[in-house]
Amino acid sequence: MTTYALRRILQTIPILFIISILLFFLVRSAPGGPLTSARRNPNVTKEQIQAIEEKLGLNDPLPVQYGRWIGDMLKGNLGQSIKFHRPVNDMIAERIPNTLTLVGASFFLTLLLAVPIGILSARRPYSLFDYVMTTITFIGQSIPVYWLGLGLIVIFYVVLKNPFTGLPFFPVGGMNTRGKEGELLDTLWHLVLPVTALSLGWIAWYSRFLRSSMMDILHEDYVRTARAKGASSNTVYYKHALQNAILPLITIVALDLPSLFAGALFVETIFSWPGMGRLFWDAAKGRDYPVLLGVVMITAVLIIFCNILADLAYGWLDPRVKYE
Amino acid sequence: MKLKFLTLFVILGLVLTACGGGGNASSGGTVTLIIPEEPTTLNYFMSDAAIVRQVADAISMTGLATINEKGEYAATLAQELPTLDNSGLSADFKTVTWKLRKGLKWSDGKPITSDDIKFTIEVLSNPDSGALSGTSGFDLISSIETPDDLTAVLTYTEPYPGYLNQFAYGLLPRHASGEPADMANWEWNRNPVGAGPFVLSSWASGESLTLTRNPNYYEAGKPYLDSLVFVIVPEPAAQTAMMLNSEAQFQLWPGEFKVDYDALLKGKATQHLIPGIWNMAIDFNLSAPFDGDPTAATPHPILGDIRVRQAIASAINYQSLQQDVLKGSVSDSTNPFAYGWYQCDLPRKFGFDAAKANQLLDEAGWVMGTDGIRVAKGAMYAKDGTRLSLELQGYTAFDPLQLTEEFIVENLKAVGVEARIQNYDFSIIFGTFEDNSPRAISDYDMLIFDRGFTTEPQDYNFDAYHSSKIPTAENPTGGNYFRWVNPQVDSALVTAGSSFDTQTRKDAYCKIGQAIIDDLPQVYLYLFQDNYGVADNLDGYVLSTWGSMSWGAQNWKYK
Repeated sequence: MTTYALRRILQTIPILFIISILLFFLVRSAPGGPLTSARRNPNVTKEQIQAIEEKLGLNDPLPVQYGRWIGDMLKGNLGQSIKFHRPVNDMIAERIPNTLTLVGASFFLTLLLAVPIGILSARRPYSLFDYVMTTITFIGQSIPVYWLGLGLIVIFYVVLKNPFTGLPFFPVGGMNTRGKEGELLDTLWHLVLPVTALSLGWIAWYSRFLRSSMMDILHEDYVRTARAKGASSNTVYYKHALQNAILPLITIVALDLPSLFAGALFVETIFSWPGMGRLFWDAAKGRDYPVLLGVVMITAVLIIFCNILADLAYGWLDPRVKYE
Repeated sequence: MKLKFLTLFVILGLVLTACGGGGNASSGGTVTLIIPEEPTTLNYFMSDAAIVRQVADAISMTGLATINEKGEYAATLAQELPTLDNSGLSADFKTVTWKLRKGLKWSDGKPITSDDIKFTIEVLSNPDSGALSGTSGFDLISSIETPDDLTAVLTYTEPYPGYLNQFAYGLLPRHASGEPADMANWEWNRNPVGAGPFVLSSWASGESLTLTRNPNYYEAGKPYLDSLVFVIVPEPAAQTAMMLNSEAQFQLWPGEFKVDYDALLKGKATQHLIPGIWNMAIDFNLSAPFDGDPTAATPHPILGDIRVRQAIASAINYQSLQQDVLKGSVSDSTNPFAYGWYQCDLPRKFGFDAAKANQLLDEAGWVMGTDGIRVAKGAMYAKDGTRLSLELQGYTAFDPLQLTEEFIVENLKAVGVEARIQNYDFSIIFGTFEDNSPRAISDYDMLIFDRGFTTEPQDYNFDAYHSSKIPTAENPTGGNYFRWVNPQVDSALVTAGSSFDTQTRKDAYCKIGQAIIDDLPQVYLYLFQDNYGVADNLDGYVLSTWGSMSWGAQNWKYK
C-alpha cells in the first residue's frame, strides 16, 4: 500500500503541471484584465495604464508569463497581488483559518446530524420519522443557500429580538463583535447562522445518501445470512450494514474536503465572513491574476490530495479492495 | 500668536456652525460605516477604485487644498490658495507658491514641512511609482524650491490650470514612506501616517478597518468623534438590516431606491441622493463601420445624416426613462458638463417628440417598411433598400444600463428604427485599438455607457472631442470615438485648456456642450446620483460629489 500511495503521489506531479497550464491560460483568456476598470476612469491616463502593464509584465508573451509564474510557484511564492500590492501567500494565509472555522464547523455539524438521521431513516423506512426527515431533507436540498441565509438574517436578526435585552438573537455577520476578537464564545455565536445556512443542504445530501446506501445493503445476501444465523438487530444494522454503507460516504466526504479551504462563496458573502470564497470572487472580478491563480491552484492541489486520501481510506477500510 | 489667533478663529467658526444647527454639539462616540468591499490600499494614488477613497479620505487625503461640495477649492493645510491676487500664482502662471500653516504635524507627531510637498511631487512625477490616480500635471513641474519649512515654490514648464487640483488628494510624508519608485510596496499604503482627522488603528482583512482620532489634526477640537469603524458587508440586504438595527450609521450605495429605503427605515435612517459624476449617453459612430478605415473619411451610411440622429434624439422619452424605468434614481442631463464648476444647464434641442422623429426620418428618405422598420428610399448615404437597423452596444452586468437599453429599443421601434442590443464585457467595450475594441477601430453604430469627469476635465474632454484625437493605427490612443470633426469645438477645447479664468473656461466648455446638443455626436440621457444611507441621529455631515463617504468626517457628531 505504501508503494501504491507513493505511486499515486508521484503521478500527481505531471497532473498538477498540466492543471497549472490549463488554469493559467484559462484565467488569462477571460476578457479584460486588472486594469480594465482604470481604462474608463477619468483620472487615469492611457500612458499610466501602459506603464503599469509594462511594469507588471502583462504585455509579455503568455508563455513567458507562465514560465515566470510557475517558476515562482515552485519556490513557494505565489506572487504579488496586482490590486492589493501584497504577497498572495499572506493574503491566502489570512483567509484559510477563517474558512476552516466556518466550513469545518459546518462539516462537523453535518456529520453529527446526517449519519444518525440516515441510519434511523434506513432502519425504519416509511415510518413517520422517515417521512418527516425526507420532507425536511427535500426542503434542505431545494432551498438555495443565499435565500436561506437571507431568511435566517430576517428572522433572527431583524424580526425576532431577545425580549430581555431587545437585541437580536444572532449577529448579522462577521466573525467577532468588535473588541471581542478571538473569543471562542463570541465566534461560536457568530457561527450559528452561517453554519446553519451552509449545513442544511449538506445534511440533506449526506443523510439521503447514507439512507439509500444502507437500504441497498440491507437487501444484500450477507445481511440476510447474518439475520438467519440469529444476529441481533443492532448487530445487523451497526456491524454488518453500517460498516459497509459508510464506505461510499467516506469517499464523498473526502471529495468535499477541499471546500474546507476553497470556502463557501454565498455564505461568506451574505454573512460578511472573510473567507477564501470571497477572496477568490473578488480576485476573479478584478482579474487579480496572481491571487486568482493562487487560490485555484491550491484548490486543485487539495482536490487531488483528497482524492488520493479517499482511495487510500477506502482500501484501508474495505479489505476487498486490493492495491496491486 | 498667529497660530492662537487662527485656532481661536477656527473655534469661533465651530461654535457658530454648531449654534446655526440649533443643537447641542456632543463630542465623542463611534460611527460605523458600511462598505461593500475591502479597499485594496489606503494610498489614494495607487488605485483607481472608488472604494479606496471612501476610507482614505478620513486618513491620508488631507492635502494643501480640498474641493468642497460646491466643487470649489478651499485651503486645508495651506494658509491660503495661491492666486494671482495674493501673488501665490505668478503673472505668467508658471510659478506657484504654496505656504503651509504653522505648527502642522503628521499623525505620528513629526512636523509637516515644505519638503513633504517636494517629496509628494517627486513621487507623483516619477513614472516608475506605479501611481494610477491623481498624477495629472506633475510631469509639468520642472523645479521645486523650499526656501523655508513652510514655503514651496513650484515652477511649471507651461501654465497648468489644474494646479490646485493636484494638491487636493493628500501629501506623502518623506520620513514615513519609502523610495518613490517603490511606492507599490510601501508599508505606508496599509498604515498611512497622514494629516487627516483619523488614523488607522486596526485592519482585519476582509472584515473591518478601525480608525481613531488623530490627536495632531490641524483643526483644533476636531474630529468630534472618537472613532470610525468601516465594516465590509458585501450583501446589500445585510447592510440595510444593519441600518435597521442601528448597528451602522452610514451606508455606501444602498441597493434600494430612495422611496423604498426611507419607508423601510423610517425614523432610523434616510437615503440621500447627490449628483454623481456618471453621465449616461448614447455615442454615435459618424464614420462608416466595418470598412477597415477608422478615420472619419467615409460617413456612416445611416448615422452620417444628422436628421437620423435628430430623429433618434426625438424618439427617446427621457422623462419616462428617468422617472418610471429608473424610479427617479437619476437626474436629467443634456450634455457632458452636468455638474461641478463647469456645469452648463443647456436645454434639449430635440426633446421627446415621436411625431417630429417620424417627420425627420421621412424627410431623410427612410420610408416605413412592411415589418414596421424603415427602409432607405432616397437617403443621403444609404443605398435604397437598406433597413434602418442599428446595433446598440453596451457593457454587461449593470442593471440600470440594461433597463435603459431595453427602453430605448422600444422607443426607437415606435418610429421605425430597429436597435439590436449587443452587450460585451467591460473590457471589450473599453478595450484598446490594439485589442480591436469596436469603438476604437470604428466598428460600431451606437454605444451606450456612462462617463465621468473630475474637477479638472480638460484632459478627458480634449481626448474625447478634439478632431486630432480620432483613433487610427498611427494614433491608437486617441479617444474621439465618434469621429467627430468640429472646428469650433477644437478651438473651444484649446481655449479651455489654456485659460486660468474659470468663467472663460466654463464658457468654452458650455460652447462644446451646445455643439454636442446641436450636432449630436452623442445624446445624453441622464446623470446617475450617488446615494448614501445616513442614520437620522448623525449630524454635521456634508455629502459631496467630489468627496467620498468619509469626506468631512472631522465635522460629524451625534445629535
